[in-house]
Amino acid sequence: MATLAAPIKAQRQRRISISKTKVNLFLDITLALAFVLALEEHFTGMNLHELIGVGMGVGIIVHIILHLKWIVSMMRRFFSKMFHESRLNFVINILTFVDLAVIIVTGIGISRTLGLEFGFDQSLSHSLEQLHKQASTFSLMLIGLHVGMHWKWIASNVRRYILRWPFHRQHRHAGQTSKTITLNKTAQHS
Amino acid sequence: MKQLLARKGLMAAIIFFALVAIGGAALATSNNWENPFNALNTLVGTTSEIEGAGPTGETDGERAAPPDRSEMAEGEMPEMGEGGSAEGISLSWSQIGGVLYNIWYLFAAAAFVMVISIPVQFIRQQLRRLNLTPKQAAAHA
Repeated sequence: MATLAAPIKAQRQRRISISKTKVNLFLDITLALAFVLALEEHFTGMNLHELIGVGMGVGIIVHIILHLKWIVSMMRRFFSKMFHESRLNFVINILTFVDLAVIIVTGIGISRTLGLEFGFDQSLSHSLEQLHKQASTFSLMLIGLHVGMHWKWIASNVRRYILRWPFHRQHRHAGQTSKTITLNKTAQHS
Repeated sequence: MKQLLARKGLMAAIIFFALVAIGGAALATSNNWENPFNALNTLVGTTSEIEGAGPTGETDGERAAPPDRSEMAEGEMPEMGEGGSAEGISLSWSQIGGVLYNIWYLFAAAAFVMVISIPVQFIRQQLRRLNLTPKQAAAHA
């Protein structure tokens, strides 16, 4: 029985890690869609623009929490040995985070429909608005690079979880069969 | 199998590039396309017309402008800037081009990074090969 428990535990762990990737993928797609919608306030209208912005803020925090391990390890290794690609990736991610934080904070500051009244004077309000717009312009470029740097991950997971190409289905079935055989063999031995 | 996967990957990449190109052309014909590098110009300050620009940096009316709301009745848009609606949530479908442009921009950036990464990887491989000792190089070969 003890020999059977280990593969079952491993299988359970594998299942958890797969669902985490799925959560990541769907959260990222939602964030990307929210982002492209929020950028076009003429399309959404101010009310929805601000609501999407706040929702994105929450989504970004969840996104960061899901990648916290990676962020911490990258911070530790940043000045030591590391591939240049990973370093560039990390710098782009940090810039993206700062930029989005600026957009969200300035957006809350100049909000018109969320019912928040900060009582800023007109010149400060105007400056915040300009900063909000400039950061938004910059964000499209940064998010574009962010997507570009992760295109392999995106492509493989979209194929796996959304498109579900026949090859992957066959591959998975083949994997499951071999796993079942291994389990049966282990049961016979025990 | 590896070759099949590589061929599949290459085909997918070619289809992706073609879709990005077609998408860009479609946006350009519908007057919703602007040079993606305009964003950079805005940042370095060469484009001074930030004021009045939309959030994606449309500065000189290259992309479809939002509908003129100056003729609207005063009570119609209470306490709002352009494009806003204080009451309820309604989408202005005539502005969908801007959203499609943003989506295209993300895909184009991904394509750009994919294209750039090919020579970068090649150069890196060459440099790594140069740094190998003759013994390591022989083993690598």
